[in-house]
Amino acid sequence: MSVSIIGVGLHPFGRFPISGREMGLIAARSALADAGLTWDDVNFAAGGSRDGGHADALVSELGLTGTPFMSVYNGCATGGSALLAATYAIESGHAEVAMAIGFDKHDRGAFASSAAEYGLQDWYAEAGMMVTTQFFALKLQRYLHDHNLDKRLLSELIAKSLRNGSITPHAWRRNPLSVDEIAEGTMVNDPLTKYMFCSPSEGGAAIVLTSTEKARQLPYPSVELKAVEFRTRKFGTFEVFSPWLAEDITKGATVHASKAAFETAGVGPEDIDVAQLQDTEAGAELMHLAECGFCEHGEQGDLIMSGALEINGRLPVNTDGGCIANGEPIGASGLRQIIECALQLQGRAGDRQVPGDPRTAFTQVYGAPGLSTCTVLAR
Amino acid sequence: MSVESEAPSLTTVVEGTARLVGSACGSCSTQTFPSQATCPRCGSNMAAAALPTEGAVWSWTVQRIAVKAPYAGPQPFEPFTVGYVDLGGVKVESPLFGHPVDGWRIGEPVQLVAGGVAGSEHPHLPFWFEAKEPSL
Repeated sequence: MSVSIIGVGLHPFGRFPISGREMGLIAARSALADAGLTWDDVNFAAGGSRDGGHADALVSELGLTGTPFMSVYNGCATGGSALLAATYAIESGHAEVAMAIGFDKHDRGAFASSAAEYGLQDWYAEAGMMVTTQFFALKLQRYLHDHNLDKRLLSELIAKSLRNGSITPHAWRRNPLSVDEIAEGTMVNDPLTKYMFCSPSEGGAAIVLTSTEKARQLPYPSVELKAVEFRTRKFGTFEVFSPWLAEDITKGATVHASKAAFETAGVGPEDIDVAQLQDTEAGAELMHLAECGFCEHGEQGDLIMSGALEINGRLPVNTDGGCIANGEPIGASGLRQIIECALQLQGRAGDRQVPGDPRTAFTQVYGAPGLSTCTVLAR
Repeated sequence: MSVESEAPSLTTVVEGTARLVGSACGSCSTQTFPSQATCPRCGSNMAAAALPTEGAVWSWTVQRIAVKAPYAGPQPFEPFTVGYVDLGGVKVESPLFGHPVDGWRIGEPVQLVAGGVAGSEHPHLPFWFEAKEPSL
């Protein structure tokens, strides 16, 4: 792996009176400006959007240069897939400069899913079980039971995300809430209250990549992608929209992707100075902490209650407020994580800058139906 | 027992007792619900299999917010419990009845009830599970 990030661009996340693709364009142009390059310099691009339009149609505005632009989609992990495609293009020698772009603009409320798209029969939706938030709650309820974890930890994690979001200019949710307010919010699917879910939102994110060799010749500090690893689920995992589960529940895609990322990068979870983890709801961050190897299953309480996950802690997690504070524009969400880590490693994160000169970072996205991309970044 | 690949039957009656129809793999013993033609673990052919009628709650939650169409349950919306029932060999997702919606605990025994019959208590459900013991 010898690919580095030389430019990042973000359109703020939230609700805006412009189209999703306009947000993608703003992010892309911002990333190019950050790299000191123009679209003419780009030899390959990959991008994704669920509801914002075809990513490859951005070439109409970016410039009709003939550059290959691959549209990708992998649910919440779409950004990871765009990054992977752009990384492969550099590694293989096909491109000198590549971009990963993501944007989206979703309707309010939980994502609607059709039974047929998931290979399910109508009875499953008619019975009221085709509901993503139910899945989050069912998985979490069992996890809390298996590992004897206090559901209060969920409110603690959300309070942290909202605190971080309150000092992040691009975040959507800027108002902190107390642990009690979060715990006592309207119950949606026990044990998850209304404050514990991220909401579909809008935004754009873009990254410019080149070889590490070229990046080191530039007059500003770049960030090396030490690993980008993508895995899909194996038999026996617990995924959304499952009318049945196997007798033995097995380790999810995140476990395999994170393990591979650490092996490729030649570092371990103990070497990470700042991390962004998929936090679709409070339970996701709780479980992903252990699935990525930052603690044993059931030991999250120590990390959370000791303050280790705070911006000034030992392992700051979701320093820009994560999906909880930013909402989730599916196409852009995974790239936002990468950008946040790059800014932290370059010392450009402003009020939310992790102290102590962080040098190594980690990201993890997880999407339906059971796939994950994990990265390790280093300065 | 014949099972159509497009829309497999969810329930059958064996010796006067309603059962869920899953499938079992002859090679690796994986079980699924509903039934399917090939095994999701090893790819071998599966045979339809009637599942046990009793199991234990493996996880549960309450659906407290109204579910969008094509949900076919009561209007106005009434919160309900949904969970996974461990039948030994396979866990089946199902609405749960017989307790207050949040009065469930992991591990408690439940019993299958087949729907789809005249006068069914829950006409939108092909099956559900009922608590076997009073709520704590």
